[in-house]
Amino acid sequence: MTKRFITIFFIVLITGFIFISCNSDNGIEPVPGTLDLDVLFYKDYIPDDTEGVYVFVAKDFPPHAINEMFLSPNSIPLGEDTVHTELSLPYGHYEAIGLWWYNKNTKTNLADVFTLKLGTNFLPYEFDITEDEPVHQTHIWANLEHVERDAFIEGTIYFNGPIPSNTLATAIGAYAKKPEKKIDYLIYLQSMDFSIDEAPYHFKLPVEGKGTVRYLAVFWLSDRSGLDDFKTLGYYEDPENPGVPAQIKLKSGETLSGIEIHADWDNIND
Amino acid sequence: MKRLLYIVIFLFASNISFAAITGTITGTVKDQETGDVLQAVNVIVDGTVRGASTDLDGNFKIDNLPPGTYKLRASMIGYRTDSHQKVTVQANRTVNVDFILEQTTLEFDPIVVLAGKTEMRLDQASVSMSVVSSKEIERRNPTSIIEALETAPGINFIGDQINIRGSTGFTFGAGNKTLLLLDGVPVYASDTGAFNWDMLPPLDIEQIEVLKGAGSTLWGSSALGGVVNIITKDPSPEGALLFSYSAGKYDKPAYSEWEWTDPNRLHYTREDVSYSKRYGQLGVRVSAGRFMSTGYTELGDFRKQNLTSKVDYRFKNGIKWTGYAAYSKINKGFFVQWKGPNDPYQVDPSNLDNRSEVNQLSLYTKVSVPFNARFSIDMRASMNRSLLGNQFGKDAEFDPAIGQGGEIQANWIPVFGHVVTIGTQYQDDSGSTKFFGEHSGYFVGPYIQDEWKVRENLRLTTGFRYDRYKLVGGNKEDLFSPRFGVNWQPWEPTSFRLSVGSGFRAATITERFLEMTVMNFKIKANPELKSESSWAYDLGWRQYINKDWNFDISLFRNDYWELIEAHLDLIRGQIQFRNIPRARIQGVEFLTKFSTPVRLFGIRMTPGIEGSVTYMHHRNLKYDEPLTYRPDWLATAKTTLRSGRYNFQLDYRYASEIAEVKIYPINDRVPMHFVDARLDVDWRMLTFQLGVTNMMNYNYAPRESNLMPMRAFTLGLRGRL
Repeated sequence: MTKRFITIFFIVLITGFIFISCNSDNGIEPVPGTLDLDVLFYKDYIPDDTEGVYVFVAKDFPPHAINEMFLSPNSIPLGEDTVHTELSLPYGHYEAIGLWWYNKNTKTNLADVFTLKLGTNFLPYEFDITEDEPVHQTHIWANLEHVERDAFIEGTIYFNGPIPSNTLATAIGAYAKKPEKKIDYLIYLQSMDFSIDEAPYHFKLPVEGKGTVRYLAVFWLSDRSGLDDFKTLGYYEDPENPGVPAQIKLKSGETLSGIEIHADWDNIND
Repeated sequence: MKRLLYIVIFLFASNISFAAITGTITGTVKDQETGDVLQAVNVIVDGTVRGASTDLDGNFKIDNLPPGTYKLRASMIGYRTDSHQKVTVQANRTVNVDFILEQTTLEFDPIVVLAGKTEMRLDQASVSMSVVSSKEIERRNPTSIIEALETAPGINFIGDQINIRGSTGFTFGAGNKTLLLLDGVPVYASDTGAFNWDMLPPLDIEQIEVLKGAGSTLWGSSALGGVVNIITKDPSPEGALLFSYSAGKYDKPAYSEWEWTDPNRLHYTREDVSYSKRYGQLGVRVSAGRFMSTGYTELGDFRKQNLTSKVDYRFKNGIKWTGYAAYSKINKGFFVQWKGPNDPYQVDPSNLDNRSEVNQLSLYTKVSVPFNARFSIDMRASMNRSLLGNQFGKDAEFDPAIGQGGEIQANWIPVFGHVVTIGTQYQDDSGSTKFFGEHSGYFVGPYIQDEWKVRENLRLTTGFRYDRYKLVGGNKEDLFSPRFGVNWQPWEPTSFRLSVGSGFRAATITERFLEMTVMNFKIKANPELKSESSWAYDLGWRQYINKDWNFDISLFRNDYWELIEAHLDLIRGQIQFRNIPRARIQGVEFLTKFSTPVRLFGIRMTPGIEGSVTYMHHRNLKYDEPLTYRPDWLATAKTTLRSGRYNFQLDYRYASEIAEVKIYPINDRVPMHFVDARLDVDWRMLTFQLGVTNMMNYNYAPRESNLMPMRAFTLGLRGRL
């Protein structure tokens, strides 16, 4: 009798548990929302080393990490004035839409995020995907000339000590405007090189051959910190006005050499 | 040196003295229900290095035993182990001992070799282990060894990487934190450290043993978080042709919008055949296998061919020689990640040339020399050659990775109650590709372990190993791996175990030196990568409620130093293997087994119920955050209901949602719920099987952008002629 009871008890228990747990959901489901996007290209210029152009959407902007953005699974078609694309998204509020250029040489440059759709007050465009409105339609303008960096700024970064062991990355970045808010670090970025791995460091930063660099600075990210947590170690000062960021104007193919930047590790505690 | 000479003289002196006055045990083993004699039953003399297998007539003979009182055990898969407590052997006499074994649906405490490199009953081991028997493998009718292992307690797979209580996580295929052995011989790829779970047909497997926790004291490098030992079948006493055929079909995806091709074309077939026979002292087993699948995804196609052979020769003086060869050839598509969450079974068109080829040849030869009941020597030499090709659309630019090894091991009983295992292992690994250049390394490791039976119910294990690891032309490391264990059985149905042991793993050539670009990600070399090491603590209690029902609880803790994990640098778009200074995985595991014949609704049936729950708390102690690709909870439930020639089985596997991943943390993550069901019908020498895997068509991705198979139906036929 006991054996029979134990057997029936276990069979009922296990079968019941299995069916209750499995009928509660079916696991991963299709993503319900869609961003319906038209990409409008200003010009038909495509750099030779283009691997592709991807659409990204961020729930938070600036995102804490690159992999917290939704990225189109493949490159949008290139070579046409207007490209229609769709990106599957879960329900929710989104704070940015942009385009990311990938080159064939895999040297990533955060500035390869070459287009960000702007809304009111020059802030990134925000939108919602909801059960009532699962499809959001919009467009974005794009110009691949922004990734054509055919001028160079060359020089040396001097540090007041070795690179700390808790470093995720140390970078030199060129900006069209001095960033004031966290969001500005991505919006005004023209070029950024994350390969600083020794002190002092000789750099050669590619920048656009038109436009003006109004802020050239050295940044530091600690282990586990995100893209929203840049620490500025030092910047290129106007030689005639110390304490003021220098402005740099370059032409296509030009190289400006002899730039010296002093990076102070004490600034990481700010 | 003088002392060594004395030992050698003592050993040979003892050989002579024992050879002069010895006795013999003979007997027969029969099935309790049918009364038929049983072949190939293992009979072991406890506390010695002697044992025998029953022949065609169910008889066994163990000779050259010094006079004394012994405990004798008989074990066979599918039967409860039986023992005779006090068998008295007298000089120049033969004592007869017969066994009657009772059939069982579940294996309660089978004989294992992984715990101490000598045979012992599972409940006498001081470490936590799981065992998957050939019966269980037949039951699941797996297409690969992964499917045979995935329902074992405390085990889960992320991709094709095994996790024993969360040991490995997912390291993109390079560097397993467990050791894979084939009959006790390491068989990992020498360059990547990857396991080929398709290296032999499931039909060839006698038993799979899983050691949970560090095991480097006896098994050397890679036994950081556990050891898996696949034991192959010996040649049968009489000619036996085994075959297994199965054909299956994948169902439609759970959602119609996920359909990517005609679901009717997604199918698989598997054929394995094996023949074995003993010709006097020579035993031969030859097996061949083939598996072909269209896969359930784009680029999911898979073709495999196996050829294996095992030959042994039993000399009259007890010396046994074994030679083994396993060759496998695999050609498959390489599905790295889905095209998108709404196209989960497709890949980006730019990745369609991602294919992989694996050619692997594993060879070993072993000689076992039993000098007498108290001293034996085992020697082995092995070679493992694996060749990867066409990875990630690259041309076949990998050269064969070759691992060669040798080991000599002595089992010595200096005084009654002590079993001393002493040996030295040597392993040489080399690999070369244009992606990491030419590299080779070696390790040599002497070890010693004493298994001391203090009393009939108390065993102490003490062991120590020293390894010198050296990368040729590069780093040199000295590693020490001590071990201590206790097994105490205060009462017959109760046993407690405690073990403290250490493990280590030297970084593989791939982890240190690979430089290549895969899908916009650059894999960056890290030549300074240190070896990872661990200390494992395990406290267990095994209790029999009655002879049909037991449970086992273990508390475990694994502390890791310099744990090697893939570090994803998203800013620079690169992956590099790096050391995590400190990490810890601790938790508790509970399992229970129940099996007894009952009469339900007027039908006589034998149910078997096995359930397990494992909780793991895993932390990267440097950042106090969860380790990646590890669930917190694992659970399994397996039921078998046998009545006459019908056998119905229902298996359930659960894993909680993986807390931390590396690549796409924004992807939807869910717990795992898998249910498999099978109905076996025996007819004479044949068994027909109808099976369904993932019965609820549940969608689960253990790592990002990789869905597990949808529901599949299988028809199987296996038999023995």
